[in-house]
Amino acid sequence: MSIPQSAYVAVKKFMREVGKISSLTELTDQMALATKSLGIEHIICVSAFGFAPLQDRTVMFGSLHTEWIEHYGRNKYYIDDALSNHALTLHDWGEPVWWTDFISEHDLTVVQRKIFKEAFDFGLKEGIVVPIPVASDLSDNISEYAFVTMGGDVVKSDELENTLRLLAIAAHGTARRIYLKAYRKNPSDLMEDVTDVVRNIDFSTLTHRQKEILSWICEGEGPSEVAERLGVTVGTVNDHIKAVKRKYGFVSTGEMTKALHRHRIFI
Amino acid sequence: MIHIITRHNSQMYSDIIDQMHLLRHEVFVDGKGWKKLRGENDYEIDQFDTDEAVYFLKLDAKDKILGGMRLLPTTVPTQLGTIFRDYCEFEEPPSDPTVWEWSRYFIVDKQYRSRAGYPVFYELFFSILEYAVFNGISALTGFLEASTLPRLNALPWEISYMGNIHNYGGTDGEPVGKGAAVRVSVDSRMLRITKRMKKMAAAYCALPLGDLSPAPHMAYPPEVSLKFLDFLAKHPEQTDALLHVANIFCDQRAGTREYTRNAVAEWLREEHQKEAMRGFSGLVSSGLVSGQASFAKQ
Repeated sequence: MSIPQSAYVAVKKFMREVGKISSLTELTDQMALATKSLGIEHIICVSAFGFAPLQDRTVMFGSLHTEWIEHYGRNKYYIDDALSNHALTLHDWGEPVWWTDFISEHDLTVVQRKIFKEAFDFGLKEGIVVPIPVASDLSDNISEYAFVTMGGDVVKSDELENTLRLLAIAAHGTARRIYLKAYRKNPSDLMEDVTDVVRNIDFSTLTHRQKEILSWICEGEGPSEVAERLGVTVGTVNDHIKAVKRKYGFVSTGEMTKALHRHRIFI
Repeated sequence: MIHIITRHNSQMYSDIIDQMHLLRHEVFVDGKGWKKLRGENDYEIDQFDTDEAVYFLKLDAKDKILGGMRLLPTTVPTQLGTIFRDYCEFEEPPSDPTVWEWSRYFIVDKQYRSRAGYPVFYELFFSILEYAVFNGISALTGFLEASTLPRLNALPWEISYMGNIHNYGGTDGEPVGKGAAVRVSVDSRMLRITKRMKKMAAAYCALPLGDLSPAPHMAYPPEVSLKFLDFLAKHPEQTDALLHVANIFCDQRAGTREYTRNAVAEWLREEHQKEAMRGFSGLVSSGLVSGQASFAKQ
Protein backbone atom coordinates (compact mmCIF):
# COMPACT_ATOMS: atom_id res chain seq x y z
CA MET A 1 0.00 0.00 0.00
CA SER A 2 1.54 3.28 -1.07
CA ILE A 3 -0.66 5.32 1.27
CA PRO A 4 1.10 5.65 4.65
CA GLN A 5 -0.28 3.53 7.45
CA SER A 6 -1.23 6.57 9.59
CA ALA A 7 -3.27 8.01 6.71
CA TYR A 8 -4.91 4.66 6.15
CA VAL A 9 -5.97 4.52 9.81
CA ALA A 10 -7.44 8.05 9.58
CA VAL A 11 -9.35 7.18 6.40
CA LYS A 12 -10.70 3.99 7.95
CA LYS A 13 -11.82 5.90 11.05
CA PHE A 14 -13.58 8.54 8.94
CA MET A 15 -15.30 5.94 6.77
CA ARG A 16 -16.60 4.14 9.84
CA GLU A 17 -18.01 7.30 11.39
CA VAL A 18 -19.12 9.33 8.39
CA GLY A 19 -22.66 7.91 8.51
CA LYS A 20 -23.15 9.11 12.09
CA ILE A 21 -21.94 12.70 11.64
CA SER A 22 -24.76 15.20 12.22
CA SER A 23 -23.34 18.64 11.45
CA LEU A 24 -21.50 20.16 8.51
CA THR A 25 -18.80 21.62 10.74
CA GLU A 26 -18.10 18.19 12.20
CA LEU A 27 -18.13 16.66 8.73
CA THR A 28 -15.64 19.23 7.45
CA ASP A 29 -13.36 18.78 10.47
CA GLN A 30 -13.45 14.98 10.38
CA MET A 31 -12.86 14.91 6.66
CA ALA A 32 -9.97 17.35 6.97
CA LEU A 33 -8.36 15.02 9.51
CA ALA A 34 -8.54 12.13 7.07
CA THR A 35 -7.50 14.07 3.98
CA LYS A 36 -4.71 16.04 5.69
CA SER A 37 -2.99 12.77 6.44
CA LEU A 38 -3.05 12.16 2.69
CA GLY A 39 -1.51 15.59 1.96
CA ILE A 40 -4.74 17.34 0.99
CA GLU A 41 -4.97 20.95 2.18
CA HIS A 42 -7.99 22.21 0.33
CA ILE A 43 -11.45 20.64 -0.06
CA ILE A 44 -14.59 22.13 -1.44
CA CYS A 45 -17.87 20.42 -2.31
CA VAL A 46 -20.28 22.28 -4.56
CA SER A 47 -23.82 21.32 -5.42
CA ALA A 48 -23.91 22.21 -9.10
CA PHE A 49 -27.63 21.79 -9.66
CA GLY A 50 -30.27 19.61 -8.24
CA PHE A 51 -32.22 18.77 -5.20
CA ALA A 52 -34.79 21.05 -3.64
CA PRO A 53 -32.87 22.82 -0.87
CA LEU A 54 -29.94 23.64 -3.11
CA GLN A 55 -31.43 24.75 -6.36
CA ASP A 56 -28.31 26.52 -7.54
CA ARG A 57 -24.57 26.25 -7.14
CA THR A 58 -23.85 26.24 -3.48
CA VAL A 59 -20.94 25.28 -1.33
CA MET A 60 -22.02 22.23 0.64
CA PHE A 61 -18.91 21.79 2.80
CA GLY A 62 -15.25 22.43 2.58
CA SER A 63 -12.00 22.95 4.36
CA LEU A 64 -10.32 25.81 2.61
CA HIS A 65 -6.65 26.63 2.28
CA THR A 66 -7.11 30.11 3.76
CA GLU A 67 -4.20 31.97 2.17
CA TRP A 68 -4.91 30.59 -1.24
CA ILE A 69 -8.63 31.24 -1.09
CA GLU A 70 -8.05 34.85 0.01
CA HIS A 71 -5.71 35.36 -2.89
CA TYR A 72 -8.20 33.61 -5.16
CA GLY A 73 -11.10 35.81 -4.02
CA ARG A 74 -9.10 39.05 -4.13
CA ASN A 75 -8.16 38.39 -7.74
CA LYS A 76 -11.68 37.25 -8.71
CA TYR A 77 -10.24 33.97 -10.01
CA TYR A 78 -13.66 32.37 -9.66
CA ILE A 79 -14.67 34.05 -12.90
CA ASP A 80 -12.00 32.33 -14.94
CA ASP A 81 -11.21 29.23 -12.90
CA ALA A 82 -11.04 26.48 -15.51
CA LEU A 83 -11.74 23.64 -13.08
CA SER A 84 -14.94 24.97 -11.58
CA ASN A 85 -16.22 26.14 -14.95
CA HIS A 86 -15.51 22.71 -16.37
CA ALA A 87 -17.06 20.85 -13.43
CA LEU A 88 -20.22 22.91 -13.72
CA THR A 89 -20.72 21.76 -17.30
CA LEU A 90 -20.47 18.07 -16.46
CA HIS A 91 -23.65 16.05 -16.78
CA ASP A 92 -22.33 12.52 -17.10
CA TRP A 93 -21.53 9.69 -14.71
CA GLY A 94 -17.91 10.80 -15.03
CA GLU A 95 -14.63 9.61 -13.59
CA PRO A 96 -12.45 11.79 -11.33
CA VAL A 97 -10.00 14.13 -13.09
CA TRP A 98 -6.53 15.05 -11.87
CA TRP A 99 -5.57 18.70 -12.18
CA THR A 100 -2.39 17.97 -14.15
CA ASP A 101 -4.28 15.74 -16.58
CA PHE A 102 -6.88 18.44 -16.93
CA ILE A 103 -4.21 21.05 -17.73
CA SER A 104 -2.60 18.86 -20.36
CA GLU A 105 -5.88 17.90 -22.00
CA HIS A 106 -7.55 21.30 -22.24
CA ASP A 107 -6.80 24.51 -24.05
CA LEU A 108 -6.47 26.96 -21.20
CA THR A 109 -6.35 30.74 -21.33
CA VAL A 110 -3.38 32.65 -19.99
CA VAL A 111 -5.33 33.57 -16.85
CA GLN A 112 -6.40 29.98 -16.29
CA ARG A 113 -2.78 28.80 -16.51
CA LYS A 114 -1.78 31.59 -14.15
CA ILE A 115 -4.35 30.37 -11.59
CA PHE A 116 -2.92 26.84 -11.67
CA LYS A 117 0.61 28.19 -11.45
CA GLU A 118 -0.22 30.35 -8.44
CA ALA A 119 -2.13 27.51 -6.73
CA PHE A 120 1.04 25.45 -7.17
CA ASP A 121 3.10 28.20 -5.54
CA PHE A 122 0.65 28.26 -2.62
CA GLY A 123 1.29 24.54 -2.03
CA LEU A 124 -1.65 23.13 -3.97
CA LYS A 125 0.59 21.15 -6.30
CA GLU A 126 -1.81 18.51 -7.46
CA GLY A 127 -5.47 17.84 -6.92
CA ILE A 128 -8.47 16.01 -8.12
CA VAL A 129 -12.05 16.82 -9.11
CA VAL A 130 -14.55 14.12 -8.16
CA PRO A 131 -17.84 14.48 -9.99
CA ILE A 132 -20.80 13.24 -7.95
CA PRO A 133 -23.88 12.62 -10.08
CA VAL A 134 -26.54 11.61 -7.58
CA ALA A 135 -30.12 11.30 -8.65
CA SER A 136 -31.44 10.46 -12.07
CA ASP A 137 -34.82 9.98 -13.63
CA LEU A 138 -35.99 6.81 -15.34
CA SER A 139 -34.29 7.72 -18.59
CA ASP A 140 -30.98 8.13 -16.72
CA ASN A 141 -30.86 11.91 -17.12
CA ILE A 142 -29.01 13.27 -14.11
CA SER A 143 -31.18 15.60 -12.07
CA GLU A 144 -28.80 16.22 -9.20
CA TYR A 145 -25.13 16.90 -9.48
CA ALA A 146 -22.31 17.93 -7.18
CA PHE A 147 -18.54 17.84 -7.34
CA VAL A 148 -15.71 17.84 -4.85
CA THR A 149 -12.36 19.48 -5.58
CA MET A 150 -9.40 18.55 -3.41
CA GLY A 151 -5.81 19.66 -3.65
CA GLY A 152 -2.53 19.76 -1.80
CA ASP A 153 1.02 18.54 -1.85
CA VAL A 154 0.21 15.15 -3.31
CA VAL A 155 1.41 12.87 -6.08
CA LYS A 156 -1.05 11.36 -8.50
CA SER A 157 -1.71 7.65 -7.99
CA ASP A 158 -4.53 5.18 -8.55
CA GLU A 159 -4.77 4.38 -4.88
CA LEU A 160 -4.97 8.02 -3.85
CA GLU A 161 -7.58 8.63 -6.53
CA ASN A 162 -9.73 5.74 -5.28
CA THR A 163 -9.40 6.84 -1.66
CA LEU A 164 -10.23 10.49 -2.35
CA ARG A 165 -13.14 9.43 -4.55
CA LEU A 166 -14.61 7.26 -1.81
CA LEU A 167 -14.10 9.98 0.82
CA ALA A 168 -15.78 12.53 -1.44
CA ILE A 169 -18.79 10.30 -2.18
CA ALA A 170 -19.29 9.30 1.46
CA ALA A 171 -18.90 12.89 2.73
CA HIS A 172 -21.31 14.19 0.11
CA GLY A 173 -23.83 11.53 1.16
CA THR A 174 -23.67 12.75 4.75
CA ALA A 175 -23.79 16.44 3.76
CA ARG A 176 -26.85 15.74 1.64
CA ARG A 177 -28.56 14.03 4.54
CA ILE A 178 -27.80 16.97 6.86
CA TYR A 179 -29.10 19.51 4.33
CA LEU A 180 -32.30 17.58 3.70
CA LYS A 181 -32.95 17.17 7.41
CA ALA A 182 -32.55 20.90 8.01
CA TYR A 183 -34.69 21.63 4.99
CA ARG A 184 -37.50 19.40 6.20
CA LYS A 185 -37.39 21.07 9.59
CA ASN A 186 -37.67 24.54 8.19
CA PRO A 187 -38.05 24.76 4.42
CA SER A 188 -38.68 28.51 4.33
CA ASP A 189 -35.52 29.46 6.13
CA LEU A 190 -33.43 27.21 3.92
CA MET A 191 -29.82 26.82 4.92
CA GLU A 192 -29.04 29.97 6.86
CA ASP A 193 -28.98 28.19 10.20
CA VAL A 194 -26.91 25.36 8.90
CA THR A 195 -24.15 27.10 7.04
CA ASP A 196 -22.87 30.50 6.17
CA VAL A 197 -24.40 30.10 2.78
CA VAL A 198 -26.89 32.87 2.09
CA ARG A 199 -30.38 32.23 0.82
CA ASN A 200 -30.90 30.91 -2.65
CA ILE A 201 -32.30 33.32 -5.17
CA ASP A 202 -34.02 32.53 -8.41
CA PHE A 203 -32.31 34.78 -10.94
CA SER A 204 -33.98 33.14 -13.90
CA THR A 205 -36.47 36.00 -14.21
CA LEU A 206 -33.79 38.63 -14.98
CA THR A 207 -34.33 40.27 -18.35
CA HIS A 208 -31.70 39.96 -21.05
CA ARG A 209 -30.67 43.62 -20.65
CA GLN A 210 -30.44 43.28 -16.87
CA LYS A 211 -28.21 40.22 -17.24
CA GLU A 212 -25.99 42.07 -19.69
CA ILE A 213 -25.56 45.04 -17.36
CA LEU A 214 -25.08 42.89 -14.24
CA SER A 215 -22.45 40.74 -15.90
CA TRP A 216 -20.29 43.85 -16.38
CA ILE A 217 -21.01 45.09 -12.85
CA CYS A 218 -19.89 41.68 -11.57
CA GLU A 219 -16.65 42.08 -13.49
CA GLY A 220 -16.00 45.18 -11.39
CA GLU A 221 -17.03 47.91 -13.82
CA GLY A 222 -18.87 51.03 -12.72
CA PRO A 223 -22.23 52.21 -14.12
CA SER A 224 -20.62 54.85 -16.34
CA GLU A 225 -18.26 52.31 -17.91
CA VAL A 226 -21.13 49.91 -18.51
CA ALA A 227 -23.21 52.73 -20.04
CA GLU A 228 -20.36 53.52 -22.41
CA ARG A 229 -19.92 49.88 -23.41
CA LEU A 230 -23.60 49.36 -24.12
CA GLY A 231 -24.21 52.77 -25.67
CA VAL A 232 -26.87 53.85 -23.18
CA THR A 233 -27.02 56.60 -20.56
CA VAL A 234 -25.73 56.18 -17.00
CA GLY A 235 -29.27 56.86 -15.78
CA THR A 236 -30.60 53.84 -17.68
CA VAL A 237 -27.92 51.58 -16.22
CA ASN A 238 -28.68 52.84 -12.71
CA ASP A 239 -32.40 52.33 -13.27
CA HIS A 240 -31.79 48.71 -14.25
CA ILE A 241 -29.61 48.13 -11.19
CA LYS A 242 -32.19 49.75 -8.91
CA ALA A 243 -34.92 47.57 -10.43
CA VAL A 244 -32.93 44.40 -9.72
CA LYS A 245 -32.16 45.50 -6.16
CA ARG A 246 -35.81 46.29 -5.52
CA LYS A 247 -36.99 43.02 -7.04
CA TYR A 248 -34.68 40.82 -4.94
CA GLY A 249 -34.52 42.99 -1.84
CA PHE A 250 -30.80 43.84 -1.95
CA VAL A 251 -29.77 46.73 0.27
CA SER A 252 -26.52 47.54 -1.51
CA THR A 253 -24.83 46.93 -4.83
CA GLY A 254 -22.15 45.02 -2.92
CA GLU A 255 -24.71 42.59 -1.55
CA MET A 256 -26.17 42.17 -5.01
CA THR A 257 -22.85 41.43 -6.71
CA LYS A 258 -21.93 39.00 -3.92
CA ALA A 259 -25.16 37.07 -4.45
CA LEU A 260 -24.69 37.17 -8.21
CA HIS A 261 -21.18 35.85 -7.90
CA ARG A 262 -22.36 33.04 -5.74
CA HIS A 263 -25.01 32.10 -8.24
CA ARG A 264 -22.81 32.56 -11.19
CA ILE A 265 -19.70 30.92 -9.94
CA PHE A 266 -18.70 29.57 -6.60
CA ILE A 267 -16.13 30.81 -4.17
CA MET B 1 -43.00 -9.96 -13.11
CA ILE B 2 -40.15 -11.04 -10.85
CA HIS B 3 -39.75 -14.73 -10.20
CA ILE B 4 -37.92 -15.80 -7.08
CA ILE B 5 -36.19 -19.14 -7.50
CA THR B 6 -34.86 -21.09 -4.56
CA ARG B 7 -33.85 -24.71 -4.16
CA HIS B 8 -37.45 -25.43 -3.18
CA ASN B 9 -39.03 -24.42 -6.45
CA SER B 10 -36.05 -24.68 -8.81
CA GLN B 11 -37.30 -27.97 -10.26
CA MET B 12 -40.22 -26.02 -11.69
CA TYR B 13 -37.86 -23.56 -13.34
CA SER B 14 -35.29 -25.88 -14.91
CA ASP B 15 -35.65 -24.35 -18.40
CA ILE B 16 -35.49 -20.83 -17.04
CA ILE B 17 -32.38 -21.59 -14.97
CA ASP B 18 -30.73 -23.03 -18.08
CA GLN B 19 -31.63 -19.90 -19.96
CA MET B 20 -30.22 -17.76 -17.12
CA HIS B 21 -26.80 -19.45 -17.20
CA LEU B 22 -26.64 -19.05 -20.97
CA LEU B 23 -27.62 -15.41 -20.69
CA ARG B 24 -25.09 -14.76 -17.96
CA HIS B 25 -22.43 -16.20 -20.26
CA GLU B 26 -23.61 -13.85 -22.99
CA VAL B 27 -23.59 -10.83 -20.67
CA PHE B 28 -20.49 -11.41 -18.53
CA VAL B 29 -18.19 -13.46 -20.79
CA ASP B 30 -19.11 -12.44 -24.35
CA GLY B 31 -20.35 -8.95 -23.52
CA LYS B 32 -18.07 -7.74 -20.73
CA GLY B 33 -15.12 -9.95 -21.60
CA TRP B 34 -14.79 -11.82 -18.30
CA LYS B 35 -12.82 -14.73 -19.73
CA LYS B 36 -12.32 -16.19 -16.29
CA LEU B 37 -16.01 -17.03 -16.13
CA ARG B 38 -16.04 -18.89 -19.45
CA GLY B 39 -17.86 -22.16 -18.92
CA GLU B 40 -18.57 -25.33 -20.87
CA ASN B 41 -21.37 -25.25 -23.44
CA ASP B 42 -21.62 -21.46 -23.10
CA TYR B 43 -22.81 -21.79 -19.52
CA GLU B 44 -21.69 -19.37 -16.86
CA ILE B 45 -21.80 -21.11 -13.49
CA ASP B 46 -19.47 -20.30 -10.64
CA GLN B 47 -18.72 -21.76 -7.22
CA PHE B 48 -21.44 -19.61 -5.67
CA ASP B 49 -24.28 -21.07 -7.74
CA THR B 50 -25.16 -23.54 -5.02
CA ASP B 51 -28.39 -24.76 -3.48
CA GLU B 52 -28.25 -21.79 -1.13
CA ALA B 53 -28.47 -19.24 -3.93
CA VAL B 54 -31.74 -17.41 -4.50
CA TYR B 55 -32.30 -16.03 -7.99
CA PHE B 56 -34.46 -13.06 -8.84
CA LEU B 57 -35.42 -13.06 -12.49
CA LYS B 58 -37.55 -10.66 -14.45
CA LEU B 59 -39.50 -12.67 -17.02
CA ASP B 60 -41.70 -11.25 -19.73
CA ALA B 61 -45.04 -12.72 -20.83
CA LYS B 62 -43.24 -15.31 -22.97
CA ASP B 63 -40.93 -16.40 -20.13
CA LYS B 64 -37.97 -14.60 -21.67
CA ILE B 65 -35.47 -13.31 -19.08
CA LEU B 66 -35.07 -9.52 -19.13
CA GLY B 67 -32.76 -9.23 -16.14
CA GLY B 68 -31.71 -10.93 -12.97
CA MET B 69 -29.71 -11.04 -9.79
CA ARG B 70 -28.44 -13.57 -7.28
CA LEU B 71 -28.70 -13.49 -3.49
CA LEU B 72 -26.59 -15.63 -1.14
CA PRO B 73 -26.64 -15.94 2.64
CA THR B 74 -23.28 -14.92 4.13
CA THR B 75 -23.21 -18.12 6.20
CA VAL B 76 -21.95 -19.93 3.09
CA PRO B 77 -18.93 -18.89 0.97
CA THR B 78 -19.65 -15.60 -0.78
CA GLN B 79 -17.73 -13.38 -3.20
CA LEU B 80 -16.83 -10.84 -0.50
CA GLY B 81 -15.90 -13.61 1.92
CA THR B 82 -13.56 -15.31 -0.57
CA ILE B 83 -12.39 -13.71 -3.83
CA PHE B 84 -13.00 -10.08 -2.77
CA ARG B 85 -11.92 -10.54 0.84
CA ASP B 86 -8.93 -8.21 0.41
CA TYR B 87 -11.29 -5.46 -0.70
CA CYS B 88 -12.97 -5.33 2.72
CA GLU B 89 -10.38 -3.36 4.70
CA PHE B 90 -12.77 -1.29 6.80
CA GLU B 91 -15.07 -4.07 7.88
CA GLU B 92 -14.70 -7.85 7.93
CA PRO B 93 -17.01 -9.66 5.52
CA PRO B 94 -19.93 -10.80 7.69
CA SER B 95 -21.01 -14.35 8.35
CA ASP B 96 -24.50 -13.84 9.62
CA PRO B 97 -27.79 -15.55 8.71
CA THR B 98 -29.48 -12.13 8.53
CA VAL B 99 -26.92 -10.65 6.12
CA TRP B 100 -27.10 -11.69 2.47
CA GLU B 101 -24.91 -10.87 -0.49
CA TRP B 102 -26.12 -9.86 -3.92
CA SER B 103 -24.16 -10.60 -7.08
CA ARG B 104 -24.43 -11.33 -10.82
CA TYR B 105 -26.70 -8.40 -11.53
CA PHE B 106 -27.52 -8.21 -15.20
CA ILE B 107 -30.05 -6.46 -17.37
CA VAL B 108 -30.69 -7.82 -20.84
CA ASP B 109 -33.29 -5.35 -21.98
CA LYS B 110 -32.37 -1.83 -20.90
CA GLN B 111 -35.11 -0.26 -22.99
CA TYR B 112 -37.88 -2.25 -21.34
CA ARG B 113 -40.41 -0.31 -19.29
CA SER B 114 -43.22 -1.89 -17.34
CA ARG B 115 -46.75 -0.67 -17.82
CA ALA B 116 -46.17 1.74 -14.96
CA GLY B 117 -43.06 2.97 -16.81
CA TYR B 118 -40.38 1.33 -14.66
CA PRO B 119 -37.15 -0.20 -15.97
CA VAL B 120 -36.21 -3.77 -15.08
CA PHE B 121 -33.81 -2.87 -12.26
CA TYR B 122 -36.52 -1.06 -10.29
CA GLU B 123 -38.66 -4.18 -10.15
CA LEU B 124 -35.65 -6.36 -9.39
CA PHE B 125 -34.46 -4.17 -6.52
CA PHE B 126 -37.87 -3.81 -4.97
CA SER B 127 -38.58 -7.52 -5.08
CA ILE B 128 -35.21 -8.18 -3.46
CA LEU B 129 -36.00 -5.66 -0.74
CA GLU B 130 -39.44 -7.19 -0.23
CA TYR B 131 -37.90 -10.64 -0.04
CA ALA B 132 -35.31 -9.37 2.48
CA VAL B 133 -37.89 -7.71 4.73
CA PHE B 134 -40.22 -10.70 4.55
CA ASN B 135 -37.42 -13.09 5.46
CA GLY B 136 -35.94 -11.02 8.29
CA ILE B 137 -32.76 -10.10 6.41
CA SER B 138 -31.19 -7.08 8.14
CA ALA B 139 -28.52 -6.11 5.62
CA LEU B 140 -27.40 -6.75 2.06
CA THR B 141 -23.77 -6.69 0.99
CA GLY B 142 -22.26 -6.51 -2.46
CA PHE B 143 -19.41 -5.30 -4.63
CA LEU B 144 -20.59 -2.25 -6.57
CA GLU B 145 -19.12 -0.40 -9.55
CA ALA B 146 -17.56 2.89 -8.40
CA SER B 147 -19.70 4.88 -10.85
CA THR B 148 -22.89 3.64 -9.21
CA LEU B 149 -21.78 4.56 -5.67
CA PRO B 150 -22.90 8.23 -5.80
CA ARG B 151 -26.39 7.08 -6.77
CA LEU B 152 -26.74 5.51 -3.35
CA ASN B 153 -26.51 9.02 -1.87
CA ALA B 154 -29.91 9.84 -3.30
CA LEU B 155 -31.57 6.88 -1.60
CA PRO B 156 -32.74 6.99 2.01
CA TRP B 157 -30.62 3.97 2.88
CA GLU B 158 -28.16 3.36 5.65
CA ILE B 159 -24.98 2.53 3.80
CA SER B 160 -21.56 1.60 5.03
CA TYR B 161 -18.53 1.08 2.87
CA MET B 162 -16.77 -2.14 3.80
CA GLY B 163 -13.62 -1.23 1.92
CA ASN B 164 -11.90 1.33 -0.28
CA ILE B 165 -12.55 1.64 -4.01
CA HIS B 166 -10.30 -0.86 -5.82
CA ASN B 167 -9.20 -1.35 -9.38
CA TYR B 168 -9.97 -4.84 -10.61
CA GLY B 169 -9.40 -6.93 -13.71
CA GLY B 170 -6.70 -6.32 -16.25
CA THR B 171 -5.18 -9.80 -16.20
CA ASP B 172 -5.33 -11.95 -19.34
CA GLY B 173 -6.88 -9.12 -21.31
CA GLU B 174 -9.87 -8.89 -19.02
CA PRO B 175 -11.61 -5.55 -18.69
CA VAL B 176 -10.56 -3.19 -15.93
CA GLY B 177 -12.95 -1.47 -13.60
CA LYS B 178 -13.32 0.07 -10.21
CA GLY B 179 -15.60 -0.93 -7.40
CA ALA B 180 -16.13 -1.09 -3.66
CA ALA B 181 -17.71 -3.45 -1.14
CA VAL B 182 -20.87 -1.95 0.31
CA ARG B 183 -23.30 -2.93 3.03
CA VAL B 184 -26.90 -1.65 2.97
CA SER B 185 -29.15 -2.03 6.00
CA VAL B 186 -32.65 -3.22 5.22
CA ASP B 187 -35.83 -2.89 7.25
CA SER B 188 -39.51 -2.37 6.57
CA ARG B 189 -39.23 1.41 7.09
CA MET B 190 -36.47 1.65 4.53
CA LEU B 191 -38.58 -0.34 2.06
CA ARG B 192 -41.64 1.82 2.70
CA ILE B 193 -39.75 5.11 2.27
CA THR B 194 -37.96 3.92 -0.85
CA LYS B 195 -41.21 2.74 -2.41
CA ARG B 196 -42.87 6.04 -1.65
CA MET B 197 -39.91 7.95 -3.03
CA LYS B 198 -39.92 6.01 -6.28
CA LYS B 199 -43.71 6.02 -6.42
CA MET B 200 -43.82 2.25 -6.53
CA ALA B 201 -47.20 1.04 -5.37
CA ALA B 202 -47.59 -2.21 -7.24
CA ALA B 203 -46.25 -5.59 -6.25
CA TYR B 204 -43.97 -7.42 -8.62
CA CYS B 205 -43.47 -10.91 -7.27
CA ALA B 206 -44.77 -13.87 -9.21
CA LEU B 207 -46.05 -16.99 -7.53
CA PRO B 208 -43.07 -19.31 -7.11
CA LEU B 209 -44.54 -22.06 -9.22
CA GLY B 210 -42.45 -22.06 -12.36
CA ASP B 211 -44.10 -22.83 -15.66
CA LEU B 212 -47.41 -23.17 -13.93
CA SER B 213 -47.34 -19.75 -12.37
CA PRO B 214 -50.52 -17.90 -13.17
CA ALA B 215 -51.05 -15.53 -16.02
CA PRO B 216 -47.90 -13.48 -16.65
CA HIS B 217 -49.71 -10.19 -16.28
CA MET B 218 -50.57 -10.97 -12.67
CA ALA B 219 -48.24 -10.13 -9.81
CA TYR B 220 -48.73 -10.68 -6.14
CA PRO B 221 -47.84 -8.78 -3.03
CA PRO B 222 -45.06 -10.39 -1.00
CA GLU B 223 -47.53 -11.56 1.62
CA VAL B 224 -48.96 -13.89 -1.00
CA SER B 225 -46.07 -14.94 -3.20
CA LEU B 226 -43.44 -15.11 -0.46
CA LYS B 227 -45.82 -16.91 1.85
CA PHE B 228 -46.21 -19.56 -0.83
CA LEU B 229 -42.46 -19.80 -1.21
CA ASP B 230 -42.13 -20.07 2.54
CA PHE B 231 -44.79 -22.75 2.60
CA LEU B 232 -43.03 -24.63 -0.18
CA ALA B 233 -39.76 -24.53 1.77
CA LYS B 234 -41.38 -25.84 4.93
CA HIS B 235 -43.61 -28.41 3.28
CA PRO B 236 -41.99 -29.70 0.11
CA GLU B 237 -44.39 -32.65 0.22
CA GLN B 238 -47.23 -30.24 -0.56
CA THR B 239 -45.77 -29.14 -3.88
CA ASP B 240 -48.51 -31.05 -5.71
CA ALA B 241 -51.18 -29.19 -3.78
CA LEU B 242 -49.66 -25.84 -4.73
CA LEU B 243 -49.40 -26.90 -8.33
CA HIS B 244 -53.04 -27.82 -8.24
CA VAL B 245 -53.89 -24.31 -7.08
CA ALA B 246 -51.72 -22.89 -9.81
CA ASN B 247 -53.57 -25.03 -12.33
CA ILE B 248 -56.81 -23.51 -11.21
CA PHE B 249 -55.36 -20.07 -11.81
CA CYS B 250 -54.05 -21.05 -15.20
CA ASP B 251 -57.42 -22.45 -16.23
CA GLN B 252 -58.90 -20.69 -19.23
CA ARG B 253 -62.07 -20.13 -17.23
CA ALA B 254 -60.08 -18.30 -14.55
CA GLY B 255 -61.06 -14.99 -16.09
CA THR B 256 -63.50 -14.22 -13.34
CA ARG B 257 -62.55 -13.96 -9.72
CA GLU B 258 -65.75 -15.68 -8.78
CA TYR B 259 -64.73 -18.81 -10.66
CA THR B 260 -61.23 -18.84 -9.18
CA ARG B 261 -62.46 -18.28 -5.68
CA ASN B 262 -65.03 -21.03 -5.95
CA ALA B 263 -62.62 -23.48 -7.56
CA VAL B 264 -59.96 -22.93 -4.89
CA ALA B 265 -62.52 -23.11 -2.12
CA GLU B 266 -63.98 -26.32 -3.52
CA TRP B 267 -60.57 -27.91 -3.86
CA LEU B 268 -59.66 -26.88 -0.33
CA ARG B 269 -62.88 -28.44 0.96
CA GLU B 270 -62.12 -31.69 -0.84
CA GLU B 271 -58.57 -31.80 0.46
CA HIS B 272 -59.74 -30.99 3.94
CA GLN B 273 -62.24 -33.80 3.82
CA LYS B 274 -59.63 -36.25 2.54
CA GLU B 275 -57.28 -35.28 5.32
CA ALA B 276 -60.04 -35.51 7.88
CA MET B 277 -60.87 -39.00 6.66
CA ARG B 278 -57.25 -39.97 6.99
CA GLY B 279 -57.54 -38.73 10.54
CA PHE B 280 -55.08 -35.85 10.94
CA SER B 281 -55.24 -32.08 10.93
CA GLY B 282 -54.55 -31.00 7.37
CA LEU B 283 -51.46 -29.04 6.56
CA VAL B 284 -52.99 -27.97 3.31
CA SER B 285 -56.06 -26.41 4.80
CA SER B 286 -54.29 -24.67 7.67
CA GLY B 287 -51.41 -23.50 5.52
CA LEU B 288 -53.39 -22.25 2.59
CA VAL B 289 -56.42 -20.64 4.13
CA SER B 290 -54.76 -17.25 4.55
CA GLY B 291 -53.29 -17.53 1.08
CA GLN B 292 -56.71 -18.19 -0.33
CA ALA B 293 -58.06 -15.11 1.41
CA SER B 294 -55.37 -13.02 -0.26
CA PHE B 295 -56.17 -14.49 -3.66
CA ALA B 296 -59.79 -13.65 -3.18
CA LYS B 297 -58.79 -10.03 -2.60
CA GLN B 298 -56.92 -9.94 -5.87
